[in-house]
Amino acid sequence: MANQNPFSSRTQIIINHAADLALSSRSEFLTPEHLLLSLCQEKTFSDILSERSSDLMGAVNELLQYAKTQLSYSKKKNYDLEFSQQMQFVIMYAQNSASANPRSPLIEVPHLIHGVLRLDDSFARDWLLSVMDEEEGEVLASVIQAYGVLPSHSEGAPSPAQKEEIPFCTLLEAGEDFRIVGREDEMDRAVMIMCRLGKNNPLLVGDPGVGKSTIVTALAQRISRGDVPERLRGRKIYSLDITSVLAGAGYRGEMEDRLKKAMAQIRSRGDVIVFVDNIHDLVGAGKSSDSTIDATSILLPYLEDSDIPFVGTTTFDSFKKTISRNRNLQRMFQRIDIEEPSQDEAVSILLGIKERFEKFHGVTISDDNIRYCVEASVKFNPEKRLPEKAIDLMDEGGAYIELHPSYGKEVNRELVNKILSDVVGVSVSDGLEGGTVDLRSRLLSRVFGQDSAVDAVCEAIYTSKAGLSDPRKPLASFLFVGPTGVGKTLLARELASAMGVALHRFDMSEYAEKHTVSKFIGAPAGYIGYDEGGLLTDAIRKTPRCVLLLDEIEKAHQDIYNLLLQVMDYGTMSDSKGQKADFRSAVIIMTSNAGARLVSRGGVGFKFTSNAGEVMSKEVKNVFAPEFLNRLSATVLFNDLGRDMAALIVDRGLEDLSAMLEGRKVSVTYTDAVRAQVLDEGFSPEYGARQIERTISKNIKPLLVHEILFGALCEGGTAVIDYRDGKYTVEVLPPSRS
Amino acid sequence: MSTQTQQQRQTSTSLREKVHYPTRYIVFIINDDFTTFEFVVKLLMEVFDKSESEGWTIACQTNDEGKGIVGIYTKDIALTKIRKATAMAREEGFPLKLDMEPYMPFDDDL
Repeated sequence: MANQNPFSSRTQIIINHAADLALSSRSEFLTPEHLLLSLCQEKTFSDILSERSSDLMGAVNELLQYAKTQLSYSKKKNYDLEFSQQMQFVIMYAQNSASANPRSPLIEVPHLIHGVLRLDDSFARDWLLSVMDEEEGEVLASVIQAYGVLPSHSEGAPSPAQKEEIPFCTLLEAGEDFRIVGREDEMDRAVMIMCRLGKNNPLLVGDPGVGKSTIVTALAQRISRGDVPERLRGRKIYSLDITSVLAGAGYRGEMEDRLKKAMAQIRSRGDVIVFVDNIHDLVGAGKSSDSTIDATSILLPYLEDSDIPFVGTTTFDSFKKTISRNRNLQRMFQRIDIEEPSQDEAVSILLGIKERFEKFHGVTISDDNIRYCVEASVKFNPEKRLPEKAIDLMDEGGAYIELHPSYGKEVNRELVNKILSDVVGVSVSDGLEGGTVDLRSRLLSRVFGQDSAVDAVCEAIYTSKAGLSDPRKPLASFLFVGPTGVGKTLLARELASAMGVALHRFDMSEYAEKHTVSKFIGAPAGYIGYDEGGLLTDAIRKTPRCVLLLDEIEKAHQDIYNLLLQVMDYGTMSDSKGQKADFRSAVIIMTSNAGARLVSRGGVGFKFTSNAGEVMSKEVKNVFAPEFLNRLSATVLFNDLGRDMAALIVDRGLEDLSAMLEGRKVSVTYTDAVRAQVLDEGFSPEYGARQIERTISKNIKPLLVHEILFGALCEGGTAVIDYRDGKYTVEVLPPSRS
Repeated sequence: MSTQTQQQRQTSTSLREKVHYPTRYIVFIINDDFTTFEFVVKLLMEVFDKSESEGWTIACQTNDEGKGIVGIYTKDIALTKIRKATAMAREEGFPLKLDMEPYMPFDDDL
């Protein structure tokens, strides 16, 4: 019925051989048994069989025996060999399954085997199953694998046409359910460039992840649909794999040879578009030290040839570093900038591929959650580009559910947040754990005596949570002013832990010199350490949501101030390489002791408490420039240590000591006398809380150290610390058996 | 070594079982009022490789009993021969019908 041969050339040979076998034994018909005998003499098939069967010869003999005894033989000398009924069935079945793929509808061996397996009461089928010693499905799978025939799945399937394959290139074809959303203008421009008379090579330039390679695949789809000018119709896009050109190229000139071979083949075919992904890799590829010839030099004449359009992709950075350096190469290409899609466009892109993802992972995701993916990825992942980062979130969500099927079937907001914090490393808890009210009470419970400071900080955080703070600026910028040891650094630490974000501390006394700015933002080009990046910019990039603590800011160099001015106003800082770090999710806290000296100098502190604030503010205005103070969310004055506060600090210090001792299985109690004494000795408005800690360390710790290492507490135990007759004492209680 | 021969034996016996597994079929001709004796004999000789006398015997059996047993063949061969015979008959204008049924042996020696 079909005018053309339904068999592929390889299969036809097998059929012919089967016919020979049938004729030589004078069998009247060509049966499936003859087909199998013919296959046994074909290398690929016999390899499969010898893998499975230990006695292939014996098995083949059985097949021969059957053929000899059970089939029908012609007495005539000359007769027309016919296909037996079952053989015809096999062929018909094979044709059916082969034609399911219109790209290569020719019958291959797996199709025939499928047909054989479909027979009933067939010795051929039974023999095949017993030799392979497998179930039907497994037999078919092994054959398919050995013959590598799965045209509907492999992208690089050779076309049914007899054209030779291009070395080092793979055919680029869009899968059946491939769809691109948007990017019409860019594709039109690319097509337009390819229709030019000369230098018809579009170069797609864009940040990683914006969809350049996707655009090229979409171009392939468009061409195969015929939605292009006459000039480009019927062309195939072949992707040149530069790594395979280079791989294993041992002797001199081998890479050039290979490239030339590929290009010559391309030129002779005449219906090809060459796609080179990451075309900047070509620059310098294959270059040996004593020659200026690299891969691009080989390709230049072909780039000029307008019969062969080249499509390339690269990133902005790579373009600048490689292609723009080579004028000859650069003029061959027409640049198309591929920008990041807008959030709305990204949402429609994700909606377009939603089905594929849902099917692949077996999950569902609502449109709202897709929008959230896009928004969250923009907010928390400024490093990467849309649409890739949003697609990644969706994909990770699906993969997570595959790993934890008990989670449910829906990728929801909660899951996206979880992935953001696990994978991206940002905490998405909206900055507050446990609710709004808790922040204030939590801070108050840890930082003593600085209620106004805590209030000011909470105020700013709440404003931002309510969405009323300026979105272009950092979350908040504070200047904590006050004497030493009153809790400025502590407040910053507690704030970070209450918000669930990282704390980055920088001691500004290290940055007193001009050149130390480069520690922050990275060394300028040409200096050693250029590639290492800056401490501050790296820290912010790694954890954009953080508390940034700059201690003793008045010690920093003027240039640091200037940097910070910009940060506080616009929320970004560029490092030495020009990449921006986004500070808008950070709380900036700067501490200063400015004016503290004046306060303590002004007396024993108590009398001047009411004026201490004024004194400090005045001094702060003297030390810091108005434009700096102007940009702060708040200047927070810290009170110096009052006696009540000190008592709380004593308690806390002793508690911390107890906590440390728990590790040694020692539990400790303190008498009131001890507490009072520590308070007396340690209280100093000048030196703040540190004096109290010093008192504890000097007096109490040594007592315990001795007991723990050499005395009664080395196995753990209970002790009581007391102060009697002017001395600190430690008393070890007998261990209670419990 | 011994495991190999054991496996060999295993394959051969399992194969030997398989050899007889596909059921064979009895082919027979169904009588009708239109097809001539001569044609049936000719058919039996050409398609089914019978001698002239065998052909006559079968033709007579068909005529007398309504069904005439032609022989026992594997399913593939049976189908093919039936198709061939039917085609030949139709060519001559005869509505001859053949049929096949599974051959169930009573004993296991086959």
